[in-house]
Amino acid sequence: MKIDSWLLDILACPNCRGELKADEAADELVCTGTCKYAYPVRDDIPVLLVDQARTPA
Amino acid sequence: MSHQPHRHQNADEPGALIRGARLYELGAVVGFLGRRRRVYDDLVTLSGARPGDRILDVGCGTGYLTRRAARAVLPGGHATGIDPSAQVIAYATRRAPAGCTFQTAAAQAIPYPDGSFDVVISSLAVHHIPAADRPAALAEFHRVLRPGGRLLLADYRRRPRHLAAARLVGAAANHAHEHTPADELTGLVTQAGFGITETGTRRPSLQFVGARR
Repeated sequence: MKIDSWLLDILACPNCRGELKADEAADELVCTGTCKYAYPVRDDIPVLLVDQARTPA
Repeated sequence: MSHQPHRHQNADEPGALIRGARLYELGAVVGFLGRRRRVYDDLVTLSGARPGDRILDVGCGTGYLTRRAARAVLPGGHATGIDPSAQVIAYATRRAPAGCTFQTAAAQAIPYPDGSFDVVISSLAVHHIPAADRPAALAEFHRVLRPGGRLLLADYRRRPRHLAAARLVGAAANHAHEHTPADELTGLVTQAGFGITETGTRRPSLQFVGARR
C-alpha cells in the first residue's frame, strides 16, 4: 500500500471529518475521529465512500 | 435513447457510476464535437482559478477537466479530482500530471476538511447525483470552500445532440443522461448559501452557474 503522507495529512474522513491514518497490514485508511470507520485501499487507491467503509464492531 | 430513471437502490449510494472509462472518453470526444478543450478551458477561466489556487473538480470522471484546471493553478497550486467510480479514478491517476491528484469519493461526502479549497468546479456531474442528494452535495461544496471561494457548476442544458455520442456516454455511464433545468442549478446554488455571480451557456449543450461563497 503506497499512500503519500502529505495526502493523508490533507484528507479527512468523509463520514465524520476526522483524521485518517494508514493501516498497512489491513490495507485500510482508518478514521481516528469519532466514527472509526475503515476505508479499503485497492490497488493503492483509497475508496473513500461511506457506503464501502468497514464499521467498527 | 430513452429516459430511464437512475439506478439508485438507497440513499447511501453515491450516484450513477461511470464504468467504462475509455468508452466514456470516446463518447465525450464525439459529444463535444471537437470543442472539448476549448469549452473546458473556458470553464476553468470562468471559475477564476489562478496560479497558487487549490481547486477541486467534483465528479471528475476520467479527469480531463482536472488536468486542464491543473494547468491554470500551476505554479504553486494543486488540482484534486474526485469521483465515486474507482475505475475512472484509477484511469485518471495513471494520467495525472504534476500538481494533480485524484480520489475515489462522493460529492455528498467529500473527504476534505472545511475550507480546503479556493475553487470548486463541477462539469456534467450534477445530473449523476440522485436529485434527493443534490442539496447535500451543494452543502459539501460550500463546506470545503474557504470563505470567498468560488464555485463553477456546468451541466447539460439538453441531452447531447448526437445520438451516437449520447449512446456511447450513456452505455459507459450506465444510465440515461437527463438534462438539469437551469432554474434547478441556480436554485441549488442559492439554497446552499452561495451568491450567484454569473450564469450562461456554452455550445454545444452546456449551461453554467458561477457563484461565490
